[in-house]
Amino acid sequence: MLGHTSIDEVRDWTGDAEALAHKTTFWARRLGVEDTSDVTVRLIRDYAQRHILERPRREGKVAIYGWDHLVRLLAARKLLSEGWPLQKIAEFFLVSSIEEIRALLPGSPTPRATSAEDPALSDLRRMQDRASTRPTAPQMVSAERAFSRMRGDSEARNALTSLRDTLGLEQGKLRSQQMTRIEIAPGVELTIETRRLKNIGAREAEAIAHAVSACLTDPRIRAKGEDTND
Amino acid sequence: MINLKIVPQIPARLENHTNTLNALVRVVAPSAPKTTAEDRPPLNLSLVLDRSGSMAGQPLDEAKRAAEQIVTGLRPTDRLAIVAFDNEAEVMHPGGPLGDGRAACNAIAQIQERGMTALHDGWMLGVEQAIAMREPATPARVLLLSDGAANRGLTEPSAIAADCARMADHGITTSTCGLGHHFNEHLMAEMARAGRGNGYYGETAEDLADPFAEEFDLLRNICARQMQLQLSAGEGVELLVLNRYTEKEGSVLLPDLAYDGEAWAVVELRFDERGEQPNERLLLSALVRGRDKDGKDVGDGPVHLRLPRLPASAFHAVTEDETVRARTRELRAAELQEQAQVAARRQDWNEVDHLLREAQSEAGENPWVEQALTTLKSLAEKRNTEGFSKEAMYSVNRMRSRLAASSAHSEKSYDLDMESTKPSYLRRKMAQGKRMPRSQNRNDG
Repeated sequence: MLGHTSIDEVRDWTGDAEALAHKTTFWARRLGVEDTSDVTVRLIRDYAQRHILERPRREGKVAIYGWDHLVRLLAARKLLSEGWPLQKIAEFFLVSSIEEIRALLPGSPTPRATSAEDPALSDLRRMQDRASTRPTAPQMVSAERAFSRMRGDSEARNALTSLRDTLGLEQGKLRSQQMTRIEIAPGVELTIETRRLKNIGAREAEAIAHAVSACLTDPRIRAKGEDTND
Repeated sequence: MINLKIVPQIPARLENHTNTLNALVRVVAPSAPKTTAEDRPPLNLSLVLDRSGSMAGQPLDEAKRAAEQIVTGLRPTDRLAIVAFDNEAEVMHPGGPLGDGRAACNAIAQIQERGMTALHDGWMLGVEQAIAMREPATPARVLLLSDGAANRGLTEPSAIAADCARMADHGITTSTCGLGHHFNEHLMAEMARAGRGNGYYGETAEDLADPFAEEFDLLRNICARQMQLQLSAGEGVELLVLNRYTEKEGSVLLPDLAYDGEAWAVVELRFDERGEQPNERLLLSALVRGRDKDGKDVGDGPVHLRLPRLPASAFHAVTEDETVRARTRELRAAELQEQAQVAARRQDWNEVDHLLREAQSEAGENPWVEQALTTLKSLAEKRNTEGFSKEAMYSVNRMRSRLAASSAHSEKSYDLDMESTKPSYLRRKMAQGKRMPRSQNRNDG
């Protein structure tokens, strides 16, 4: 690998899109960023549209880029090579300062790390930062709780009541011991108490299917999907 | 200390033909030293337990019991952290010297099931504890146990595995233990592979005893880690590593090496012997580098494979090396099992049956591989997709990256008494997800 120093060497740099493309390609190789394929003007425009790059300053008709753009482009290339999708990179950049983005690059001081800090900790913090900027994972929606603050009948509510009658459950008393998770399709899972699953009959299965169908098509349940429920 | 050897399947080149020759690269560890437990550096172990709702009841009880067994086996100076995760991760026992172990056992007893599976968050907190408790730059292990699929926080297997790989570069390796039939075997196996630890699974909670004992035994006996094997082919020679180890910066990443064990790779060499060729030709060079338990550089080599050129009559009279042939067949059987796993996932059981028959004929004289295939056949007969998929995946990974016994144990026979004389990390199990049947002479090391 080339003996890199630091991207800080060129903090005062400015140039047009073509110069930025050349500069990024040069520094990607110098810093050992894994994705070292050439950066093009077209790619720069694409990144700007995706909000990975901020809007450049204008001098007449010419767009002028600077060190911040160079750092963002290099960091984006690095994250891409690590498997990040572009949308997630844009989200991460949105909530990060330029110094935090710069810290992703080799040869850059890490804002939160001291020189004596374990480099593993610096890396872990970057992972934690990235994880905290991700959209929240699918939340569990309890149909029972979703309806607890609602009044009136709906097909879904009736189906749930009917299902509990079929399964012989008291309202609000469903408590699992050992659960079986059935992946019906990618992103669609059914979790059911293992003991109950072993004894389930056709009538119960039909009642479950009806209740699931009613819940999935109920607009209020869908709206509750945005709430958090442990 | 480490001994590097290259053993060809046939110690000769066949003249006037295009040759395909397999060679076994063996990285042999020394015998276990006659030392007491006090002589080894303290372990840094971060135990990460899934306490999501699906672990309720027996699975969590057994996982807690296995965790207590780990505590019992540690020395007071070993460092242990315990993390539990559901919707979010929580430090149950902060990383530090174990002492009398009572605080750790109390922490384990307090773990109760609830919520979802924020697996990546749990792993990250386990890593954080490992970093905090280890001496700078000393190795640490995160051991993750889960019965479910990550469904909160970061969930993409490739992204999680990339994080595991990054931490392995810092000496914080990850082993995973899947429980039951509903965990994501791709995620758990990939985390272990990328994290440079070991992947285990247990069909039931009781089956966890073997993996936990093996992991613990291995950690106590690692003599070289971060092992990188550099291979370079001679001029005009094509080289392919059949084990499918991860490659990084031109080197093959080998598993950690433990006393009395052997890390190995079968290398397929293709070269042309038509026309003029020298009598002695360099086919392969190898060099191995790693770090010992104190962090000092260790290695061996370069060693070179040069073979004479023989006419057909003399070449066919040369005896094949049995071990190289057996390991090559083991890897071929692994390849077919991997294909069968993919076929099982798409419910193509005719193809599964066909591939298992083919693997059976490849297994040839390797009774351990035959036993493993019998286990898979039984799952295929029951059309047990989840069970088959997991057993096949872990069997494949084990065949491709297991540490072999470096002693004179023959791999041509397989019986439980013989296996039980080996350290637990060198034993070959009949079924990866089941506890090894007890032998009367069992020595649990």
